[in-house]
Order: sequence, then C-alpha cells, then structure tokens
Amino acid sequence: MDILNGIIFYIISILITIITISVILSKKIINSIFYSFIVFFLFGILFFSLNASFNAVMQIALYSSALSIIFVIEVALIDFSSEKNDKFKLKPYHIFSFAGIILLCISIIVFYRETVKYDYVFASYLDSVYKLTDFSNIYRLSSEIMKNNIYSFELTGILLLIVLIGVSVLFSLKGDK
Amino acid sequence: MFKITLYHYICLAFLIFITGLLGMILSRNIVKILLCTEFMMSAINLNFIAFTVFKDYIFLKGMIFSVYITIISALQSVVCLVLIYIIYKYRKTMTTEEIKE
Amino acid sequence: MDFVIENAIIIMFLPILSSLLNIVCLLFNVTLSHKIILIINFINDMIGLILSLIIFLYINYNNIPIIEKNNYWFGLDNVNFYYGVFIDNISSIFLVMLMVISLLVKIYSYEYMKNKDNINNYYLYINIFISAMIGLIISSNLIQMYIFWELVGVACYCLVGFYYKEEAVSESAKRVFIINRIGDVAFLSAIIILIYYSIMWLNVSNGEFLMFSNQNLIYNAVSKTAYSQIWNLIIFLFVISAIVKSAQFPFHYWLISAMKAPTPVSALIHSATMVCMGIFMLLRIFPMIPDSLLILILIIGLITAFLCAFIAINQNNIKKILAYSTSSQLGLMFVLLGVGQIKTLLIFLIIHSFTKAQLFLNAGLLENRYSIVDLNQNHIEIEKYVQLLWLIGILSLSGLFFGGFISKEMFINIIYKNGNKLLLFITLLISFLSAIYIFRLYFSIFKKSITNSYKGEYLNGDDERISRIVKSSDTKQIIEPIGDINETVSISNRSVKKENSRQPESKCNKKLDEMKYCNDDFNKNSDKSSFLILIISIISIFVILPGFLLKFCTFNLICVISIFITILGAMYSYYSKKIPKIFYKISYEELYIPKIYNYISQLFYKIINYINLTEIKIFDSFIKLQVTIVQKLSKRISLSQNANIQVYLSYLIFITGIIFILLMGSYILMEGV
Repeated sequence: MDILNGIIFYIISILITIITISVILSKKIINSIFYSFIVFFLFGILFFSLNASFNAVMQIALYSSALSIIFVIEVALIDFSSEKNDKFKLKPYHIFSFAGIILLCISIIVFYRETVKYDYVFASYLDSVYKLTDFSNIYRLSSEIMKNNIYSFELTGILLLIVLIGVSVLFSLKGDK
Repeated sequence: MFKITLYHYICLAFLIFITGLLGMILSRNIVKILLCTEFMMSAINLNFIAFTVFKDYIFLKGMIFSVYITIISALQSVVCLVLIYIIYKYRKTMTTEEIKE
Repeated sequence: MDFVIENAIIIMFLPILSSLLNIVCLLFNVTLSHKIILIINFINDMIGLILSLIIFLYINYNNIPIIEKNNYWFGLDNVNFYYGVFIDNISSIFLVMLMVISLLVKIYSYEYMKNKDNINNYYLYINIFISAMIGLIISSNLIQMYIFWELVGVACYCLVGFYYKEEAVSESAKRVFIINRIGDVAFLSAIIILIYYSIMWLNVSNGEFLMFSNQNLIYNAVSKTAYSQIWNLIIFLFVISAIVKSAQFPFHYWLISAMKAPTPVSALIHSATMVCMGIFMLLRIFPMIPDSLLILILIIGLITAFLCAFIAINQNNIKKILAYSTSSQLGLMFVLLGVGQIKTLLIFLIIHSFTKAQLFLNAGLLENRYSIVDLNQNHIEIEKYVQLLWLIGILSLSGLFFGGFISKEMFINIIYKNGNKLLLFITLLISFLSAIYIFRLYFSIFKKSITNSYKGEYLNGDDERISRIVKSSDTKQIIEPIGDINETVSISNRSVKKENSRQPESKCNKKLDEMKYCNDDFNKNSDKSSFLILIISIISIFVILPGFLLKFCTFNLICVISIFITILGAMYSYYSKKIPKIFYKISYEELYIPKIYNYISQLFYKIINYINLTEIKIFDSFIKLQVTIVQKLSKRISLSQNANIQVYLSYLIFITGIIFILLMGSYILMEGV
C-alpha cells in the first residue's frame, strides 16, 4: 500500500510541476487559466490522499471552479491584446530573485539532514487512541473549530460579507474612481 | 524511496511556491500574477496539512488554518480582479506598467 | 573719634553710598540731574575727607602708629585667611591725598562734563574707582589687595572707554585693560607661589604670612633658609605687577592709550592715584625684597625715566606729553625705591601727584574753553590767569619753585649721598631732558615758538591732518585746519560746538544791545569755565604750599648744579631749532612702540581671518561632500522606488535566501556536521 501511495504521489507531483511551469510559460492567458484549473484539481486529490477531505473539497470548489470562472470572465471583459511583446527581458532585479532561490534550495537540501533525524518520533504513536482515520475529517475539524476557534470563524464570515458588499459597490460605481 | 515522508511534501510545496514566485516576478500580465498567488497559497496549504498529518494529528491546527487561507486568498483575488476591471473601464488600456503606478 | 578708628572701613563704602541712588535710577532708566549728583557726592566726599583727616592725625600724632583689625574669612585645610583693615602712616597719607583730589576732580567734572551724555555712569564709575582705591590702600593682606587691584583696573577700563562710541577709544580701553591684566596675572601667581612656599618650606600654615603686619617674621625666616631662587621668583612677579601698574618701560603704553579718557579722569587716575599703586604695593612688601631685585627696580626706573623723557621732547599732544612725564617721574620714584629712601619717595610722590593733577586740569581747561589739544594749533590769545596757572604747574614740575623744588632737591641730595656717581650723572641728564619737554610745552602754548627740529617737514599721524605749523609771526591770522578738528583729534570732547570759537575779536563787545543776539561762544565759555579755574587754583595751593618747607632742604653745590641744568634745558627749548633727525624720529614715533603693537595685532588679526576662512572652507566643503553623497544616493534609491511588486519580491527572496543560509550555516556549525 505504501508503494501505491508513493507512486500516486510521485505522479501527481510531477504533473503539478509540469503544469505550473506551463502556466508561467504560456503565451495566452486563457491557456494558463485552464492549466491552473487542472492544478487545483490535482491539489485536491493530494489533500484527499492525506485524509483532509474538507480541505480538498474546499480547494476544488473555491479555486478550481469559482475562481477559474471569475478569471475567465475577467479575461473576456478586458482586452489584453495591447501587450504585444511578450518576450522576456532580463532586468537587474531578476538576478536577485534567481540568487535568492538558489540559496533557498541549498538551504533546503541542507535542512533535509536535520529533518530526517527526528522522523522516528512519529512511528510509535500510530497505535495510540488518537488516530487520524478514526473519525471523519469534517467531524474532527468542526469539533475543533467550534470549541476553540469560533472567533476566527465568525470573523471570516464577516469578512465574506464585507467583500460581497464591497464588490457589488465597486461594480456599481459611476463617475470618478 | 517509495516511503513518503514529510520531507517529500515539504519539497513539493517548496517547488510550487518557488515557481509561483518566479511567475509572479517574471510575468508581464496582471492576471498571471494573481494566478500565481493562488499557486503559492495552495502550496502553503499543502505544507500546513502535511505538518498536521505527520506531527499534530491530535489538534489539527494546520488544517484549520489552511481553511482560512483558502477563503482569504479567494477573496483577495476577487477583489483584485474587480479593481482591475474598474481601472480598465476608466483607462481603456491595460498594460501592466501603467497599472503599477 | 573712637568710632571712626574702630570702624575705619566706613570710608570705603562712602563713595558707593553716594552712587546708590545712581544705581537705583539705572534700574528704572531714569536720569538724575547733574546738580543732585554733585550735591550728594560733595557731601559724601567731605565726610570722607574729614574721616581720613581724623585717621591721619590719629596715626601721626599718637603712640599707636597702626590701625589693624582682622576678621576670619575662610579656611582651607588648616590654612586660614583673614580680611581686614591695616592703616599705617603711608596709607593715611595716600588716603588724604586721594580724598582731596577726588573731591576736586568731581567738582571740576561737573563743569567739564556738562553737555555730555551718560553722566550718571561717569559718576558711578568714578565712585567705584575711589572705593576700590580706598580698599586697596587700607587692605590688610595680599589677597584682599588683589581683589581691589583688579577692581581698580576694571573701573579704569570703564572710565577710559567712556566715549565708547568712537572706535579708537574702545580700542585703547581694551589695551589699557589687557595690559593691566598682565600685572594681575603676575600678582596672583606670586600669591599662589607664596602660599605654597610658606606651607612647604617655612612651615607657616596660616594665612598670616600674607598680612602686612608680619613682614618681619617672613623676612627673618627667609634669610635662614636656602630656597632663595623661588623667593626671588615670587618677588620678581610682584615687581612685574608693580611695573605694569605704574607704567614703566615695557608696559608703559597703556598710560598713553588711556589719554583718550576725559581729562578729569586722567587727572584722577593717571597722575595721582592709580599709577602710584605699584609703588604702594612695593612699599608694603618692602622688607621681603632681596637686594638683587632692588637693583632691578632701580634699573627699570632709570630706563623708563630716560626713554619717556626722550620721547616727550618731540610730542605734539599736550596730554601725551603729560602722560610721558608721569611715567618718567614714576621711574625716578622707582629709582628712589631701589635706593631705599622711603621718606623722600613719599614726599616726591605726593608733590608730583598734586602737580600732575593741576597740569591735567589745566589741559582740560584749555580743551574746554579754547579747544586746544595740540601744540600745532594756532592759538588765540589766552587769558593771563590761565597762563599764570600753567606757570605754577610747570615751575613745580621742573623743580625750580614751589613744591617741586623741595622734592627735586631732596631727591638729588639723597642720590649724591648714596655715593654712586654714575647714578647721579644719569639723573641729572634726565632732569635736563625733562626740563626741555616741560618748558617746550609752556612756550609752545603761550609764546608761540615750537621746537620741532624739522620745521614741519616731517609730520606723521595725527598732526598731519590737523593743521600746518604756524610761524611765530603769524599768530593773529586764522588758518583753517585741514579737516575738522573734532573729527581728527579723538581725545577732545565731543560736544565742542562746531561754531568757530576762535575769533580773536568778538563782535559783541561793541554794543550792549547786541549782546542778547550774540552767538559768540567765546563769551559763553568764559562765563562757564569760571568753576574750572576755581578748582585749579585750589589745587595749585596744594602745589605752592610745600614750597615753604624749606627746612628740609640743604643748599649745597649739587642743588645749585641741578637748578642750573633745568635752566639750561629751558633755554635750550626756547632757543634751539634743530635736533638730529634720528633722535627726532625715534622720539616722535614713541620708540616705534605703537607701530610695533599695531603691526603685531594686525598680524594676529590676519592670521585669525585666514584661519577663519580656511575653517569655513573646510567645513563648507565637508558639508558639500555630505550633501552630494546624500543627493546621489537618494537619486539612485528613488529610481529603484518604482511601485513594482516584482522588484520588491525579488529583493525579498534574495534576502530570505541569505537569511536561510546564515541560519542553516550557524545551526550546522553549532551542531557539527
């Protein structure tokens, strides 16, 4: 079973990397949106394999469906054709980013040895009472949120409301900005 | 090799994050930039969830936080897109250099 | 009477009391009228005079020769210092002289300073000066004396710089004060070294060694020890301060600069009282002076007497001649001190101070009434009684009649008795030179013959701009001066009216009716200056009276020789017309001392300006450097400040990468790979 898990993980990961790179390198925007849709779907599968079903569903519902549609509408409304030259011009600040990324990779490679040291810790707790798969993810999450983190939940609800109102207001604006 | 440890998930999240960053820096289209933010957010989510699964499977704090992350990132992108639409309405052109001002 | 003796310190506070009202009015910006000030001052001065006379009589005609009273002042580390009063016969004489002259000068200055501004300040400064002088005279120890020594210098500065709005006057006041400060520094350092010396080597851990009543103790103690060099140093510093105060050779220039003061001030300070304080101080510490320094005093006195007489021969300013003559006569007093004869010294000093005061007041009379300041001015006919008063002063100063005769005669006899022939010869030479300049002064004012060797072909400085030399025949012609006298001659008073007061024939004498509409200053001034003449005549009484003390004189050959020499000098000044050019130049230029002084001060000013400019340049360039750096950096940074997220993100990534590397690196180093 571990092997299967591993194979699935590797396949999905490779797919994700390839498609994200193609998102960046595509010339048209609509293509990149389509690719992003697929990426979010794959992320959902990955989350599902980690027994985080609620997160997976949220990811798919929000990102891959709602946001993609919004992006597509945006692209349809706005005329991006005025950007003609899409060639990549190297500027001085790009170098900083490349250098930083290389440094981060190096640091991660070095950090691997430190993380591996403490991996033995989790193995002994697999037979304990509190296993991840005993109860469903939604049950576990809801019990945690509603008991201890109700405040933040409420806040996000209010935030959603505000954004709703704000968006509708912004759309209906007339006159100066 | 086939035993998936925490390190693998961290690596994947890191890679996606880095690509998202690079796309953000090197892209010349605003929608691409916003799209790359979503990639970064989902990579972060993956990171948090992996950590909870392997380390904090009693209290699931990472998962809770990742829920909030998704919500907020979606809201952010919606708002940004609305603003872009409004700018387009008034300027009738859409070049990233003009918007950066 | 006992009350006066017990509280002799009252005398010091009387002049300040007379100017208390002045101070109060200063605070409230009110000007008192001149008459009120005069009345208050007159009353207080009369009281002071009476008190000083009481003290004088008490001391000289009683068994107790000293009044002394000391109080504890402060103590440092077992060394106790006292303050108090110490009056012996010397200080009583000085007191009486001071009070007399100050009273007369104040009444004189009422008339003289009638139309000037800042009269209140004038009386205030004079009162401060007088009280400081009294404090100096009656002080009982060296520290107290030092305080009043400095105060006298301050008051002198205030008075010399009375007409401070002219630049030359303020500069000369500065000069006066600074040169006096040199003496103060020497005095103070001498006191400090004396304290240290007495504590370390004499084991006298008490402030009493500074007292003037304990001089003999110190003298005996000193003669037994072997630390003579430091003692020489101490007394040398005291001598220097005395030289500075009494305007002897290296430091005589302040007295000449101080002639920019109003004339009554010169009469009070620079003839009679302040310049004698050097001698007074040396008299107080006389038992402590070793023989080598007495010789030094003598030599310096001789040098000044000779040089100042030499310079005064060719000066053309009345007050300058009188100033040089004071320093010359003080040099002779230093000679007497060096020889050690104190009785003759005191007599000489007192008579000299009265004569000089009288002469200065005469000069003030000329200035006020006829506006004569220089010998080169053309002279109108001066009244006879003015001439008479001048004659009294001149004869006394030269030593032919009246008081000066007594002093000169005693002086010459003492030096003859001392045995040194060289000294005698030099003093006779000095008397010859002094006779020349004294009679030249008289003749050139009243007989219209000027003994300038070069007949007006060599003129320099102030004289050039004043007027041309008058030939002895053209006395009644009016020759207009080149330029206004009131501009060029900065010594004169400022309120001399520019109306020409030198018409020999007044237009108003003809008809009585016209006198009401007469604008002739001549008549006005003649009515005004009656007060001045009164005062001068009172002082000349003091000049004439000592002439009757003939019992102190011994008529011998030397006396006759000295009289003969003075008459020779007078005749030389009247008849001779030529002196070699070198002597004329040197004496006219006052030994080039003012020029050297100006040159050095200009040098310093130039250096200071140069340094200032370079410093400004350095600072300017430094600031400019900073400014350019900031400007350029800010330009570069502002270029990077584009609202570009991508740029910021890239920088951010770079920084995070660096931080990560550093963290990991430190972690690894700590743990050890």
